[in-house]
Amino acid sequence: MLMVPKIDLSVGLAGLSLQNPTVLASGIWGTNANLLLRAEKSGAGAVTSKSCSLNPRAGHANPTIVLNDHYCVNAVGLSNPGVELEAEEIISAKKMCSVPVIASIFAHSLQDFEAVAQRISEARPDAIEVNISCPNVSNEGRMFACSAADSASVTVRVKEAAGKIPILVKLSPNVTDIVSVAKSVEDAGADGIVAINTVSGMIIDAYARKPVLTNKFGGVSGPAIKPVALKAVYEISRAVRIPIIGTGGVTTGIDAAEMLMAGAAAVGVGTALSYPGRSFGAIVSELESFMSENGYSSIKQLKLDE
Amino acid sequence: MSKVLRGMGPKRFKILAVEEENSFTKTITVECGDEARPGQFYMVWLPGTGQKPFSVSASKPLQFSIAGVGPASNAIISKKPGEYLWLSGPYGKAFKLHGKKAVMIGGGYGTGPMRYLCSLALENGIEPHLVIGARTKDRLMKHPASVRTFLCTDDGSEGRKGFVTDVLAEIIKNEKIDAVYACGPERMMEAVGKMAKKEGIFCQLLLERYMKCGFGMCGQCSCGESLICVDGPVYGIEILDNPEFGKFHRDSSGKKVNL
Repeated sequence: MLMVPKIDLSVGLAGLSLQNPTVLASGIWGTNANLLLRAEKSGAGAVTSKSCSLNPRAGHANPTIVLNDHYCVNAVGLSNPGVELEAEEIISAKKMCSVPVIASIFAHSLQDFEAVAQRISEARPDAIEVNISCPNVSNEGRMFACSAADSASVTVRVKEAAGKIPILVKLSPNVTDIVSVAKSVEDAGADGIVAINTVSGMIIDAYARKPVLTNKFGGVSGPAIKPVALKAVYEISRAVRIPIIGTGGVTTGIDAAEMLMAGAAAVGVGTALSYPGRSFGAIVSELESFMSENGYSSIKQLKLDE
Repeated sequence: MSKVLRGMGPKRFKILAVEEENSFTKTITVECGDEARPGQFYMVWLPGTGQKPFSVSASKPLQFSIAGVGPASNAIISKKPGEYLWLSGPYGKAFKLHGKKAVMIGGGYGTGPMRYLCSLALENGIEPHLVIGARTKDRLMKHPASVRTFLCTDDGSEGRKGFVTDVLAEIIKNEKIDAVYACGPERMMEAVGKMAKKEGIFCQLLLERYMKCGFGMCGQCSCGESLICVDGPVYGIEILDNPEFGKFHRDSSGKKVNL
């Protein structure tokens, strides 16, 4: 009898064990524990909550999100109920979910980053995502992710506040040299990297003669940014030792395979979930079929031939 | 990937007519030939003012019955024929017709989709009863002459004084009803749902939540594990078991707020 090799989809990163390499990206669904569970039921290997800040934020006024076949542009504006309530959601999510729960945080100052990290750590998430790169609040000060030194400062403060909880720093593609930022956060103690956040962009309605988003500018995600994400992950993975959650435009299992081949340890999925027929389950099963048809038995074997 | 996408838009459409329903509510007809079913909704954008989700109250051409409750809705209903609105949609799941005799219950501006469902029922050989409730007479929406209609107001200023559930109880007592549909305040729908469940009658309810995207991305409209925009906004009787239904919604920050 022919032995069919079993395909092992599991991955380990920054101390987390994932049954499959897909991770719910922050900002999609993760507004509360129920929706993190929804992502797990959809087949996610790990889930990330929506980024939270020290105080509640209502976010920007609608229109905040526009989606078409090729991309999504959003300026939701980091709406969140504040770290106090978010910590309760993380505690609930930890009880409800069996996959690792990553709590995403952001702040506009080092002090606030430390305070949010401290409070969210008490909820014992499996990891903390440090969002230093949301492009939709640029009017509130420069992104930390624009500077390697600032990124390192945030990393040091959050790392100290987080204690033993691993921290994953989310980087921006809207910088001159993402690799130097990646190296800098690694040196500062980051346990992993999430790359990339959305690409800064804008949409205009010619008939209205106005920007569509109330915030004028937004972050571009979805299929159109996959090449940008692949290059960033490829370059970062060759410059650092810490694992990367490769995020940006992954919509199919083949996209996921490509992201893993670029050098990612796991794959973030977000915008894809709004396309018809897309779910974590679908992406994972496509990845599994691809691996099976092409003779791969573990995620580690997905490497570029170069 | 599928070429069918739920999130295209926003696209510009001309306003054909604006009709007054009552002093708070207007029905706007736009030059859009979309086939949108009762229960489905669009994100309606007025550039420079804002964007909100609204249920359709007719299609071919498309209609929305909108109550002026905030700056965006008031600006939208003050538009004139010949001016434009920008639409994304249709989004969400529609009502399903069921049986031979149905009761449609509209609370306040929830009457719009119920009226549309009545006309679809008639086209499909189903006998509809329309129950319209409002706080006061001046908040009642218009009703079609072709449908048997029961009016009630909280203060008795028109029709019967009392709640739509009182009317529903009477109808159920007197006739064999196959389906009950409701759209309006969530506490009212909860009472309707419980009554239908007790009587073993097919029932669907149209929920409303704060929304940003309309197509299942932002997570703002969640009710338990459900996303109103893609799993709803029309739900069957199982929504009664949802831990958040009838209890609270979430504000723009995602914080729980009691209903």
